This record gives sequence, C-alpha cells and structure tokens, in this order.
Amino acid sequence: MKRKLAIGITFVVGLYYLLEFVLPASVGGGFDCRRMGSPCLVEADDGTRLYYTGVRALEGSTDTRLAVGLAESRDGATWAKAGGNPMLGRSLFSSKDWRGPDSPAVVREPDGSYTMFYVGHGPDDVDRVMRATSGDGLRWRGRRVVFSLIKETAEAGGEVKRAAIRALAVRRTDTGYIAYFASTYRRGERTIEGVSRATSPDGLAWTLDKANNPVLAIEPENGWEYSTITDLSVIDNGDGLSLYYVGTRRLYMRGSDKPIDTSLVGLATSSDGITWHRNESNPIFGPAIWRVLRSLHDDPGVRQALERFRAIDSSVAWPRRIGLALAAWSGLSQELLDGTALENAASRLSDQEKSKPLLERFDALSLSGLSVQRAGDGSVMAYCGATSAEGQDHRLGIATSSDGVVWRTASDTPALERGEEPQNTYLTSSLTTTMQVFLVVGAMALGLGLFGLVRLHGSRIMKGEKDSVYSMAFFIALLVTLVFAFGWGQREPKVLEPGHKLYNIIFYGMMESFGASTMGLLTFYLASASYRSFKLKNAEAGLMMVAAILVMLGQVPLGQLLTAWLPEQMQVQNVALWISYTIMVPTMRAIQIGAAVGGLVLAMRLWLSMDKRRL
Amino acid sequence: MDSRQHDMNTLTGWQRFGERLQSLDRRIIYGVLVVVTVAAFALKPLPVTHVGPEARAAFEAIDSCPPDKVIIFDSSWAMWTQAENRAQFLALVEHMFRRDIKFVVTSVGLAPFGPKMAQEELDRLAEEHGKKYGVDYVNLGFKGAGGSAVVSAPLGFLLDGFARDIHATFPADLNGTPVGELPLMQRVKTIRDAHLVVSIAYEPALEWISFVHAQFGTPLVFACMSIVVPNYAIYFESGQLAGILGGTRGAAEYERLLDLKEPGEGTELMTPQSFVHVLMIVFIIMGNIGYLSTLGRRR
Repeated sequence: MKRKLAIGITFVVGLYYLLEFVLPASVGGGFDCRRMGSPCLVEADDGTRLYYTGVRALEGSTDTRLAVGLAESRDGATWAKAGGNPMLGRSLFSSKDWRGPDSPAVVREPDGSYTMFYVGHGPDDVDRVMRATSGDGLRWRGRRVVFSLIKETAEAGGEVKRAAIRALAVRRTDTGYIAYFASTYRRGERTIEGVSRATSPDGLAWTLDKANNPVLAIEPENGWEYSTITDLSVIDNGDGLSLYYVGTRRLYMRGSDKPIDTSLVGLATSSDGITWHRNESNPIFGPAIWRVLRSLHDDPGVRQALERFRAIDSSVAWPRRIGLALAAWSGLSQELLDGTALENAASRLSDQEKSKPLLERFDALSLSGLSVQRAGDGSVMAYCGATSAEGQDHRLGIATSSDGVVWRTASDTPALERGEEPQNTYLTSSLTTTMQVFLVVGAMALGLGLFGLVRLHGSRIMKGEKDSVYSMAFFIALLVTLVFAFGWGQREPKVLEPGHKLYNIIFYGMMESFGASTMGLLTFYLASASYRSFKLKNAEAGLMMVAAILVMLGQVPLGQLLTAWLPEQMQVQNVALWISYTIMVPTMRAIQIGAAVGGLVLAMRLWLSMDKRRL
Repeated sequence: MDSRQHDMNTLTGWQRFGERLQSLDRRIIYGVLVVVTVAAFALKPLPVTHVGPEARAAFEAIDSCPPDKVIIFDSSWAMWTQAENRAQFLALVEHMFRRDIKFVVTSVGLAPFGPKMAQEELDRLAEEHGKKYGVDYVNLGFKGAGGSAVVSAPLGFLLDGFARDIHATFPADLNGTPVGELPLMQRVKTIRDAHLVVSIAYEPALEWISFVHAQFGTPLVFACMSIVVPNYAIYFESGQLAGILGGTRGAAEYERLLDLKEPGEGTELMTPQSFVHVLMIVFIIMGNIGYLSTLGRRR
C-alpha cells in the first residue's frame, strides 16, 4: 500500500512538473492582446490597409511573441481587423525572425502585388531587415533576410548585438526601393543614433548609404529626442519628402525602477532624401497630456507648476513643453491637472479636448509608432497611444492634418482595440510554487541524511565498536559546527563575538585550507598518474597521448616559444586550438547530448516507477 | 629471492633500464616536481605571446560595457581554487576599475566564501585606483541554493529570482547595509540593468546559461579552472558564452590584453606551469621509452 502511494505521488508530481514546462502559459486570446505598434498605411484598391505589429504576452511573462496584423477601412475613419489575422507570424523554420516580425513596411508594386519589409529579431539578439511578398497582401511567402548592420558594425569595431534597427519605412520609386530606418550602430568610436538610408534596385540586394548615414541624427539638445528615434514614416509632400519620426527620451523617475519613454513626433523635410531640415514647430504631435498642456502653456498657473517642477529637479533643464508633461508624470499630475489654475485655463480648451477626462484617453500618456499617408487635400496619421506612462497597452488611433504640421485626433477612442486577453493556464505561473516544494523536499532529504548519520554513528558508539572513536569525532564536529554556525557564531550582539571568531577559524582556517591542500595534492597525483597511464599500448592510446602532449604544450608560453620558429598554423598553440575546437568540442557536445538523453531516460524510469530499486 | 628480483635477473641490460624507467618511485616524481616548481618561481616570467579567442572575446565583451550599465560579478571562488581563480579575479577587477566600469559582486549558489575572498582583494585594488565602495562597486555577499540532492532546481530558481529582482534576493550587502542605501544599487534593480555577468568559480553554474542568458539575453563570461574548460567550450562556440577565462592561462592572456606595466599574477604563475607541463611530458616520454623497450619481452 505504501509503495503504491509512493508510486502514485511520484507520478502525479512528475506529471504536473512536466506539464508546467510543456504546456503553454496561456491559451486563446488575440495575437495583439498586449499591445499594438509600428503601423503602416497602404493604399489598396478598395480603401486603405493598415498593417501593424501585434504583441502577445501574458502579464509578467517574458515569452513575448510578435506578429503582423491587418486592418482595413473604406473611409479612413472606421477600421476593422481583417479575417485570418495575424497575416505574418513567427516562423519555426526561420531563426532570423524567431521572435516574430516587427515594424512592417509594406509597399504596393506596379503590378498590384505587395512587398513587405520588416525587422526580424533573432534569438541571437541581432536585428535584420527581412522581406516577404504577396499577391493579395494577405498570404505572405518567401521570407528572407535582405540586409543588416552586422558587417558595418563589425568593421567599425562595434558589438553586432548592439546594432539595433528599431523601425523601417520603405518607398517604392521608378528605379527600385529606398529604405529609411531608425537605428543605432557604431562608427569608429562614435555611436550613431538616428535615421539611416539604404537603396536597392530589386528589394533584395541593398546598399547602405555609408557616405551620408545617418541622414538624420538625433539632436540631444532638443531634449525630447535625446535618447533615440523609435519609429518613422516618409511621404511625398508634393515639393519633396516629409519624414515624420518619433523622438524618445528615456527617463527614470523618482520612486520607480521602470524606465519611462517620453515620445513626441517631429517633422523633417528634404528635397533629395539625404539632407533633411527639421520643422521649426517641432515637436508637432504627442500624447493627449502633452497636447493639452501645450495648449495651456501660457497660463500663469501652469507656468507656476512648471517652476515648482523645475525646483524639484533643477539639475535638468528640460524644455518647457516636455517639462510640463513630465510634471504630470512625476507626481504633480493631480495638483497640476486638478488645480484651480488649470480649471480656469481649461475653459479655453476646445470641445473635443474637454469631451473625455484626460487621463482616460487611450493615448493619454504615451505615444509610440506612427505612419502617415496623403489623403485628399490633407494627410492622415495612424499612431499608437497608451494610457500608462510605461507604454504597455498601446492601441491604434487616427489623426488628421490639412498642412501636415498641425494635427488633430479624429476621436478620443482608439480606431482599433487590442485583441482579447488570453486565458492563463496557471501552469507556468505555478512553477515558482513547485520549485519551492522541491526546496522543502530537498531540506527534508538533508534532514533525513543527517538522521541516518546520527543513527549509524550512534549505534557504533553504543556497541563500542573498534573505530567508534571516529564516530565520536563525527558528533563533536557536527555539534561544534552547528553551534557556531547557527547560534553563537553570529556577529551580533557583541557578546557572541568570540563565537564568531571560532566560526571563522572552522570555516576559513580549517575547511578552506583543507580544500586548498587537497587541490595541491591532486597536482602530484596527476603527475604520477599521467606518467603511469599514458602508454603507447595501441594506436588509439597513442593518438590520445600525442593530442594530450600538444594541448599541454599549447597551453603554456614555453610550448609557444619552442614552436615560434614554425609557420603560424603549425605553432603549437594553434594546433592545440584546432584540436580543441575541431575534435574536442564536437566530441564533448556528443557526450553531453548522450548524457542528457540518458538522464531523461533515467528520469522517465523514476517517474514511471520502472526503476524500483529506489522505492 | 622474490619473483620481481628473479624477473629482473632474466632481462637484458636495455630491458632492465626500460623496466626501471617505467617503475620510478612516485616520491622521485613528487620530489622533482617540487624542485622544478620552486625553481621556476625564481626565474623571470616568460612572456605571454599568444591570446586565445576565448580570452579576447571576454575582454571585448567587458570592454564594451556602456556607462549606464553595470557588470554582475559572481565571485564563487574559494581558497582551494584561488591558484587559478584569484589571478582571473585580479585581472578582471583591474580592467573594470581602469575602464571605470561599475560592478556588483555577488555569489549566487554554492560558494559561501567567494564574496569575502573577493572583498579582501577589492579593498586593496579600490584604494590603488581611488574607487569608492557603494559608488563604483558593491559586494552583496552570498546567497545559497538548496540542498545538494536537488541543487539544480533551486539554483535555477534562485538565479531566476535574482535576475528579476536583485534587491529582493539581496536585501542587504555583505556588511549588512540595506541595498537601497547604496548609490550604485539605486540604478541596479534587475538583470536588465546589467551589461554582462561574469562568473568566477571552479566550475561556474550552467544555470546561468539556462535561467539567465536564455531568458533575458544577458551575455555571460565564465572564468573557470583549466580542467573544466572543455565543458564550456561548446557553449562558447555556440555563442551562449561571450567569453571564457580558462585557468591561469586565461588570466595571463587577459593581463596581456590589459598591457600591465608589471607582470600580473597570471603571467607569473604561467612560468612554473610551463616547466611543470614540460616535466610531465618528459615523464610520459620516459614511461613510454621504458614500455617500448620491454615490449618484446611482454609479447
């Protein structure tokens, strides 16, 4: 009966532990349930299409998945998600976008087909621009890498993983494609942050414009675009090109360990796509709180609030507008937003701005991606806004402009809502509890082991066996160590200090020294053992001996000096390196995989109680 | 006359010489080893002319630490591993102090004495470089994993918690000061605030790879004993380790990259190690000459 109970408990606990790893953390829900980002507006035959990045993740989970979704609109105001979303998810067979496609830039080809360029995030943390094609813009195929910053960064002596491509905008021209991308990479000693440019005749072979990149570097003195550029959109404005970009400043606020990205939209224009001029009105657009505060910035009450904010953190000379927005985020929000001065000034707000409480608007505190498109006499912008300062719940909204500089939001509500939240299976989230159970079981096993030792040595002493003196030594060592480790050995209070000194003697003076002596002795045994065992008994033994001698010599300067006269590839350190990485590494890998499979089989046998010796 | 003496009498002179070469008294081997090792310390350190890819990669990974990040320094070495780990530790700290890289010393796992061993060296090096505790570096002390029967799961569990919330895992530093009161720790809350993790131990825990690197992408550098380098080379080749310092050799190569004015501890230790390696090769050759000379008789 006891045995059956043990088998049953082992099986149930093992099964639960296995399921915690194997089954997903969540089921159901939308591909864009966490947030939406990087919109891309494209003119289609029957209206306008909006491609965007959907992010799916459980609250608190690190398992984040990206996918590209599609929404459609006939009038530019009412949007609906297309059936069959997501249009492009992560591929199990493509390691380059293993985390999923991000920041889609879709262009319409002259024959009516679609080409999508997107940023692929691989498990190696390197960003690459990839391409997929589609006849109808719904079913995509042929994903492949078209360019990255790996080569350029490596040539400049930079770390490839730190060469980030954050966002992408691609224009189709008569002669091919021009890509503008927000990136960070290294050139010599400098880190380049800004918008760079690349061209391609066919969308496959790309040439980075190394002579002019970055075509638009960030201007930290602007304040609001101090840290980086996170998204961009390029359109033809009739006289040239307009570049809309999201400038970001990363902040760490008092009392919070989470960074806050404060993002505002800037505009630059260019006649040739290489030399860009920032608009004097920059920043031209931002989250709802920024829009409201900007409209009130001449109000004396608001000015006073700003001065108070500056007094709190006088070391940072924030530009006034972003300072006002920051005042709202840094704990002055209620005072600033609810104060009498603001109430008086709020009467000057437009009806639209007053229609909904500010902090309840979907884009209240944060703004991320954008895409701009010409529409009739004006322009339309799709952007992502979030209610939280940390920007974890972005949804898509629409704004319009007649001149491309002054923008008005179409609605206080988002044009597109996020997908449904997935159902938590509570398996992954209960892993911590399971681990704690194992910890308790481990502690119990330790106690059982101690109990066994005490019983064994106790019976030896009681029986007065020949070697019972060693058993007495065991009890003395056990008691002394326990007393000085748990009680008397503590540093505080002062009365226990002598005990603490003895504790140090036991651990540092004895245990560590005995360990060091054992290691020293091993060296002598090793020398003696190698002398006796490395014998040319057969070809395999000879091969092993020669390899061992070469590796031993290759490890030390003397060996390297002895073969310094040989060609470089023949020098012993390079031969040792070749042996290590061509022979040893694959062999070790095979052994470790074999051992892991063996361990798995053993674990399965234990779990299914097939190995009955342990029970 | 015993049987061994009888056997020796039936051998030719050459075979007898070979038999003696094969059966050297171990005390002779130990004695020669001691003499060569001690004598080699008296020599001028041999120059380290070659730097392997593992040490170079480790150097570059640490050197590229941006100013707003720190390095987590898992100091899990002890007195019995200090022959190799100490030189590595000194070289790494020299690099970080010289480059003004901030770092957080911890020992997450199985080496209770690691942080204390580290602190003794840090006190001296910090004074040399004019660095201040709490601002340029901190020492959070040791946090143990569970019982040995189930070490793997609790260690991974502990590292997972450490990566997500360093302050919760280490509420106070080695001296008992609350971590929130240390200026450096005010901007180091999770593993995402770290540029890289360096783990110095006899055998750094593979859980750093599976629980930290795999989840958070934090690059890892392992500094280990020479004997366990083959266990980690596969992870270096696959890119899961950003670099390895293998034993004293790794320390010596790192010192060469640092271009120290005086030979460092790693470089100094490489000279006796060189001669001991050559001595062991000589012993192996002697044993084989003896073996081959008596081969005909054995057949």
